[in-house]
Amino acid sequence: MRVLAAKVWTPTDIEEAWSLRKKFHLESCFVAGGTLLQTQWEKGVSYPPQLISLEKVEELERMNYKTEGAKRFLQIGSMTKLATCRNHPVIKEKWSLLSTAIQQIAAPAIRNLGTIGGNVVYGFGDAIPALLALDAEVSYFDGKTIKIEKLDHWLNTRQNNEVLLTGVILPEYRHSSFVTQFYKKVGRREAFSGSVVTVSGVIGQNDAGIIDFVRLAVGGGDNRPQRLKETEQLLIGQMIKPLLLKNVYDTILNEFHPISDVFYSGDYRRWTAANIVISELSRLEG
Amino acid sequence: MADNKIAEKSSSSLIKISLIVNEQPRELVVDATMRLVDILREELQLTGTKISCGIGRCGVCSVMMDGKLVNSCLVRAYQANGKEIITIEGLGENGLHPIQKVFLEEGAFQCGYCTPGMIMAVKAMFDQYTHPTEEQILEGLSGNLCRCTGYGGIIRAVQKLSQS
Amino acid sequence: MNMNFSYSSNLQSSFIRPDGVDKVTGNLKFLTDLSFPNMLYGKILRSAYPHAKIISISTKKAEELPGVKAVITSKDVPGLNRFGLIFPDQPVLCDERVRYVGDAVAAVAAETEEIAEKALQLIEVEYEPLPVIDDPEKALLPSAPRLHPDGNILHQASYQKGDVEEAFRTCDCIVEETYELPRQMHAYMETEGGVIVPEKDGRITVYVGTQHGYKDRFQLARILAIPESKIRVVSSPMGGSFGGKDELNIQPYGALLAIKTGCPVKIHQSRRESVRSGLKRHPMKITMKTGANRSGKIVAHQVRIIADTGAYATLGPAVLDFAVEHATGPYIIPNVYVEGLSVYTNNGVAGEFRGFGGNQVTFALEGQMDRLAVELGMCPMELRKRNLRKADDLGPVGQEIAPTDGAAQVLKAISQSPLLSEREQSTNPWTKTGVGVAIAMHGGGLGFGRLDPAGGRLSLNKDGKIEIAFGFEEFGQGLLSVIERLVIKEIGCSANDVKITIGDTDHVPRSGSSTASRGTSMVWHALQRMKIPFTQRLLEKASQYTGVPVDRLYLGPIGIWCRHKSDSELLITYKQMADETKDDPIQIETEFHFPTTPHSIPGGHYLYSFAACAAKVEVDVLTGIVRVKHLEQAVAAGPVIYPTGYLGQIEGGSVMALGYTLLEEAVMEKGKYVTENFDSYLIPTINDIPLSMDITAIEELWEGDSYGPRGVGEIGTVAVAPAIAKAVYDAIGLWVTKLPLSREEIVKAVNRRELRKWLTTK
Repeated sequence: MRVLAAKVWTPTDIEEAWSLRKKFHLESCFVAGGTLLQTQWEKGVSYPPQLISLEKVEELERMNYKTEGAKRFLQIGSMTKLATCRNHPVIKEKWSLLSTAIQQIAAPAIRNLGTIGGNVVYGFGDAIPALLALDAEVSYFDGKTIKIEKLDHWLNTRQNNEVLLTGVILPEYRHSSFVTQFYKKVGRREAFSGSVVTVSGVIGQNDAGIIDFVRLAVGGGDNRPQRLKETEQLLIGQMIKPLLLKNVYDTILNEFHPISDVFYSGDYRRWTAANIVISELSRLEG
Repeated sequence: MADNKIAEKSSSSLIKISLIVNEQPRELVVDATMRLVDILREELQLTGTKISCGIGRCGVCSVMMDGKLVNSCLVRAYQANGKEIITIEGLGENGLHPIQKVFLEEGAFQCGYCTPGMIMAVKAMFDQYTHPTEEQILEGLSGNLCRCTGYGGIIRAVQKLSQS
Repeated sequence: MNMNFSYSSNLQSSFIRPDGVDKVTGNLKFLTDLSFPNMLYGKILRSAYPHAKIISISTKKAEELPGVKAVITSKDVPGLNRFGLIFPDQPVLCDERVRYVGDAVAAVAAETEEIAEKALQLIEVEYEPLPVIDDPEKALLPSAPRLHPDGNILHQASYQKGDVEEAFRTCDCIVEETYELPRQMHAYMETEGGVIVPEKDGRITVYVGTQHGYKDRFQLARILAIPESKIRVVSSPMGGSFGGKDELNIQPYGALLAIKTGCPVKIHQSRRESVRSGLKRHPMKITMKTGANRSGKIVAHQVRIIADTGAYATLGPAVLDFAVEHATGPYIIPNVYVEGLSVYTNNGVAGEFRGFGGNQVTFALEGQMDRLAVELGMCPMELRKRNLRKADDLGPVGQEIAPTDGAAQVLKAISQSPLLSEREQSTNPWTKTGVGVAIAMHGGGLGFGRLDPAGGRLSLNKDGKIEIAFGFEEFGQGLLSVIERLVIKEIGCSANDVKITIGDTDHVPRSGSSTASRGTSMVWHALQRMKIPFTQRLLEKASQYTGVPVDRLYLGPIGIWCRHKSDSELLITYKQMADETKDDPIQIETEFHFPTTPHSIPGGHYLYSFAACAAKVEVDVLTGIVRVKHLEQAVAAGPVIYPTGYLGQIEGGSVMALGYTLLEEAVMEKGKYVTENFDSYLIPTINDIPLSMDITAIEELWEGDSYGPRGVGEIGTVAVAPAIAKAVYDAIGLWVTKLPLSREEIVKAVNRRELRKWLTTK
């Protein structure tokens, strides 16, 4: 759509944004960078007559590297551009998985407009598997206060648009002796394509090579990104051996049931996800 | 589109925006949701910026906004307000820009329709890296489709510029 | 850096294209960039169904919308409500029935694009949906509804030589396979569009890109019921075409609306509208049975082709003829039977697309060669060599052709590729590498029995420029450069002395369409005919004015030069000559026909070009992803005129073909497009290409060949897919039969073959 039959509101703080949303309710929606919405508008998907842009809410575009008690973490405002996240020195150093993931989202020009919050709220964004693997939290405004919860929990429980996502929080995780992490996106082409299967993981091993923590996440296509919790359970306390890999393969096929689309079957996504996880784990074979 | 029901919505809202386009301040009264690409092409007659997919998936409408590459089909008037825009017309105002020169020399275009956007993407890349690596070139130009050249000439041009 | 895009030394050049500076600065006005005072915006309402009866159309509400200036339906078409390059069977505006989702039902002109869009939504069309034929084989069933009065077969073509049945009985080895080729989209970056302007003198000017301005003028005159002389078609430059804009697209609607409103009307289709209404490459299903004896001599080749031509004819018959003709490619086979069917369906209309049916049939043919080689335990290059045509062999459908050993030239060149000797093993345990080679033969021009006229005009214009005019179009291929280079070479002047006029029916002679790799070839032929009379007349005139004898004069930069014993001097400039001859301007015109075979075989070609492609792939066994790491092509198409353009055609053609092989398919479900824009129809990005490419141009023609350079617009797209497919077989042992290559099939094959070690764990 060249021009939208809608009015645009540009609140400058969270409370104002929230009150506009309350006022217009179903007649409105929040707009972050708008890059995804444009693809929908262009298809003729309907949109509400009141658009509440969050781009002028400066507090949503801040980044804070903080220590609270024993906890060190990075707060990324939800309106932070994907490009900013991708190139941020702290993210590159401490949470490079996220930087790697964002590098594979769309293309540079879009990442200069699209935001981390938009990617997360979309619910299928390619940053999500990496964020799940990093055990990220989200902060949101529910009309009264800002609440914090695990992204994993939030994805599984949130009701659309009931809250205003204010940020993503990356905790510094406990270091094992050896930490391996990976993010693999299989798109329909080498770059600038939606995901068919995305797999991300963070795996810690102690000095003896025993896995002492693991987080694995998969997504892609119209499949909600999810943790592979059964597979994680299987791996904890184990050393990587060929037989274990075979079990891991079967467990992933068992717990990941992606849906098909016209381009790829659910089976292809399962096999590919399992293959990628196995190939990454096999590097750790002791 | 045609089979959708009619959008029975109040007519959209006009806003006044000011922006700097190719170093010239501009003030316009436009619809708040008018796309930047249409503002450039229709309001300002800067037709060097092209339009092709309308969803940010081809890059022909790429321009610089506050020093960053953006798809002007994805930017709406309210988002461009107060911003500084550079289009292909703003690049070679004092003779050809070095990027334009190497594009000419290395056959980095054929039909020329992706070219303005491609050149803006190359500019954004060289703004960031003086001597872009292979990975940086591939990432930097990943959002700009060219159907004619197969990208060979574009890569030759970029390599030449990087070495000069 | 590993990136390396190299080429043979004869493709090195430093010429700057005449349209180059305007393209890199954004100053070039494409026809969709134009605007005029009082201009209205047009929009076309396309069918809501792939197949339906139209019960009624009511435009009343749309007409009442403020800002709407005209709404048209079939009732507003004064002339023939049909178009089509071969025969007109596609309604400009449908009245009784729609046959695909791109069928136009109505069109609107309004003050803004937004109003026009809203008006489309207010047009009430009542349809009665009809059964959808979404597959050509279903269309052939006796129970299938008839899409056209003569049934569902648009065209049948065949070629027979010897007795295949008998010959198969003598074969030591037979391979049979069915290949499926996808619906590829041209994906020119500039979608269809332009402005149609009613002029004060009662004429109209159509500023809309096409590959053949005169043909558009002819078709438009028939639709509008006005003489052709009342129409001026301005048709260059264009942001790509690749065959896709040869047929009419938005011109009739713009013209009807402009005439009705008396205002200029601009239509510029959105990508979504372009996908929905635009032409595509023919999906084909090709079954080939090929038999050879133990020594590797192929003795029998049987081919059946079913092409999905979609709802209307356009160039469907010619595409099928081309596929039938090229079904044996550059090989001499004694017993051949080829039959082809082009079938109407309710899918998107298929028509002209770079390669013209050759891409599909060559994929199958080269697949057969590779399968036979494996069955026979023979080197695939050797098998090809043993069956390759000799320079003076007849053409593939038994017709006399211009002698050429291009096939042997390209095969020899590609066999020297380092890819074929080096055998590097992948260091990554999850990837397998493989190499494949394929060759292709491709006819130029429209072929025997088809009107294929060409021509040009050369003059000294009043500004003192040597003006050369053609009815060809510039859509990126570099035609302007070819013309400029040839004029400089053949006339002897400099680039500054040349003015090129193309793309405007008021100012150019008829040259036929810019299609079928004929542009470069026809420009060369025209100049061969015009240069001597032009030069003679100019020198004679110069001699008259200067008194210097003709035999001491020659054409050079700036003007006419006089030869002295040891040096030469500029005698008179072209500008002076123009002034001197203004009462009797020097102008030479020529008209001729594209060279054809003397044998009356409809569609049979006379001039052919050749290519060989070697591809190295890396197959990721975890994901089934195929990456082409290196690609080489050797092309034999006569002398190179504009090296950068030649290189660009082969590189660009290679990558377009790579897209065809690995990525691209305009997916349709029940007659509707699933891939409606560039987020789902994926063409190669810079990340998808082989980062190492090498292009070789073989210029040497067969002794005595007087036909000059062949065009290279298409040849670079033909051999790529089979080379990649063979490389995949080489890597993982999977014979690919369907494009785009399925990653899923690869992963399944890997599962079957247990190429992953954990699956072998007991």
